[in-house]
Amino acid sequence: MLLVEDVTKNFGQFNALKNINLEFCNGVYGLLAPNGAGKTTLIKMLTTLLFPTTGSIRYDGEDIIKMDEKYREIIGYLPQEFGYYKNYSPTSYLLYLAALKGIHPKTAITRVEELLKTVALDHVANKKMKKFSGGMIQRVGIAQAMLNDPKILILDEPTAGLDPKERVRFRNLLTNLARDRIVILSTHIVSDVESIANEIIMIKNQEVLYKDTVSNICRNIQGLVYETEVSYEQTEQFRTTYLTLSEKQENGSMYMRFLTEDTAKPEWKPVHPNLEDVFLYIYQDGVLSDDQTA
Amino acid sequence: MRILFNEIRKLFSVKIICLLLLVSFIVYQQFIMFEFKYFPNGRPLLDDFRATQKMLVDYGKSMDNEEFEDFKEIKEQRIAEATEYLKSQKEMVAAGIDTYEEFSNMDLENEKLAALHSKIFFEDSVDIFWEIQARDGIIDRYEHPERFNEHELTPKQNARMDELVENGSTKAIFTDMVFDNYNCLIKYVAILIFLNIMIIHMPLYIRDKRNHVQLLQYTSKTGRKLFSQKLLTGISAAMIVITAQLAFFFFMYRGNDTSMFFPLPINSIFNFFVSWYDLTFFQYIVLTVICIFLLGLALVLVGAWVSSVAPNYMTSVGLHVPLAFLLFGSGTTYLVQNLTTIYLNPYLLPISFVIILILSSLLFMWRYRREKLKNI
Repeated sequence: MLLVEDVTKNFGQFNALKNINLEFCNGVYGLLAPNGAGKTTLIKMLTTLLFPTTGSIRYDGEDIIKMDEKYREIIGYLPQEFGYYKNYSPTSYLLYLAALKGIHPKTAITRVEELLKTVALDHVANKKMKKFSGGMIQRVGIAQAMLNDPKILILDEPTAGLDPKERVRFRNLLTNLARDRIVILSTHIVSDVESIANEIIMIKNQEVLYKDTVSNICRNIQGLVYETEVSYEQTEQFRTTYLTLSEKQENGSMYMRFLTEDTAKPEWKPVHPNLEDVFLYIYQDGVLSDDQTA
Repeated sequence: MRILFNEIRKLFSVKIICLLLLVSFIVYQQFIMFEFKYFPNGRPLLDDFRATQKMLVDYGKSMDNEEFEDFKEIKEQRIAEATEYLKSQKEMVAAGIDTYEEFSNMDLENEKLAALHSKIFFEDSVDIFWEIQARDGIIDRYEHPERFNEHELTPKQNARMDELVENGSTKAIFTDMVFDNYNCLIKYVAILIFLNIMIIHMPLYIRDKRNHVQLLQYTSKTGRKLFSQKLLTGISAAMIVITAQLAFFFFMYRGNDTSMFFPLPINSIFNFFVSWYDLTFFQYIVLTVICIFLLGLALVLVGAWVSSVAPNYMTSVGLHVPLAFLLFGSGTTYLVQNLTTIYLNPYLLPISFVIILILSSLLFMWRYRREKLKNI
């Protein structure tokens, strides 16, 4: 079990995260927040790239900083900006990282072949990565994170650059992996985690706002989400009155999905809220400005 | 070991190897080949060199008074041969020059005589005349050992000079030609080696920082220990470069045919260089090689520090400029060339190396400690 206890992280005067308390058991955890909310800061602390200003992170009761290589041995990490050497092939690059992860050479060769098949890159296993598309590079990144068969898999924006087919494939892979390990997936794309995450963690104002299942989180705005048809002329006024969640043109008018605490009008059709509705509701103040980001 | 091998492979990329070869080719062509191609550089240096080689064959490591008499006797024989030669030349006889003494006292203001003099030396290149000049120079130096300590020196330096005169070291057969040639060559080779090390080590840390591979490295089992392992990689790479460059240099140096001077003491009346220690030429060569390795090691430590703090290659190049200025100038002049010279404090060399190595190690260790606690 991975435990985040009263963790605060400051960068000089700037407070990136405060009093974070989280508990991770086997399963998929979706870390959901807009860009700049502190997701990457939390992820970097979980991977020992950043050190908490106060508080501690423990794995099975032991401080991860003190565990040192014993902890890093059991984590797999895909950073937001996945770095690689353009002139290396996926095989040589994964073997290089396998050496850093302390995997035995013979085991590494088999594992690399296996993983390249898993991420459907076996046909380009020995081609230089400089000619790869963004999606292919991201798949190399996913493969490297799984090299050491980690007990804790931490993925920061893992679906960036993947096409819809690859996303589905990736989600299935994660669901499968999460049976016997902790998978922490940071994203601002709701659909990435909605269907697969056992729990969603939402961060707002440097603090954990929710850590719950998708259905429990959605229950917070149960009965507040509606859909209705609005004429083009009224669209602008409607937008200023209500929090619109989505809009669609249909049959010569606008089909609006929106959230309000007002008493429902007869023409409004109540609908079940989804995670994206919650996300838009919570972060309706807008994304955090860049200078607030860590 | 696997990590070390992988990191070395990264440093010696095809591009870097090509760049090293190009830089080496340019430096050899511009500065080093000349000292191979034109050694000894023209006459009478060639004749000095030949005379010294003959001395070594005839008398061994040094020339005592009896052997010196023999040396002078040979010179008289050469003068007799030169006279014979002059007598055989009609134009010389017609000009009234039929002995070597007359030849050497010719009025060179006289255009006709100057042309005849020039013909013997430069058109016909008659060896005997050149050899006599060379032997004259050697005799002159041997007969005036007082020149060995004619400079204004400190009491300690004077004592060393006196010691050398008293123990007969001044009579050792050696030549400044060989010593200067080696000193000149080793300076350029050292500069080339340091340039190579700078090129190789520039991407040591910058590359992984800039392309975000560091995030993967530091979260792997090896983690931040990689920072020190990369230093080990840097040292290994530097040792490979130094060894390869020195091996190539000494292979080329064989062509200068100076091996017979290796066992000879460098303190000699025939060498302008005077050492605090009784070193042979071979020992001096070994000392320069050791100094190059030590300076190379210090350069790796400083280069690694630069690579770890510089945010990009331009900054790194900028930080290397003063380093290169120091190293290629004073560094090679005092720490690779003229080692143990009597004109510098005997403790300057060891103290300089101790200070340089301690400071560069401290610089790197400070960086390493910071890196262990740094937020990435």
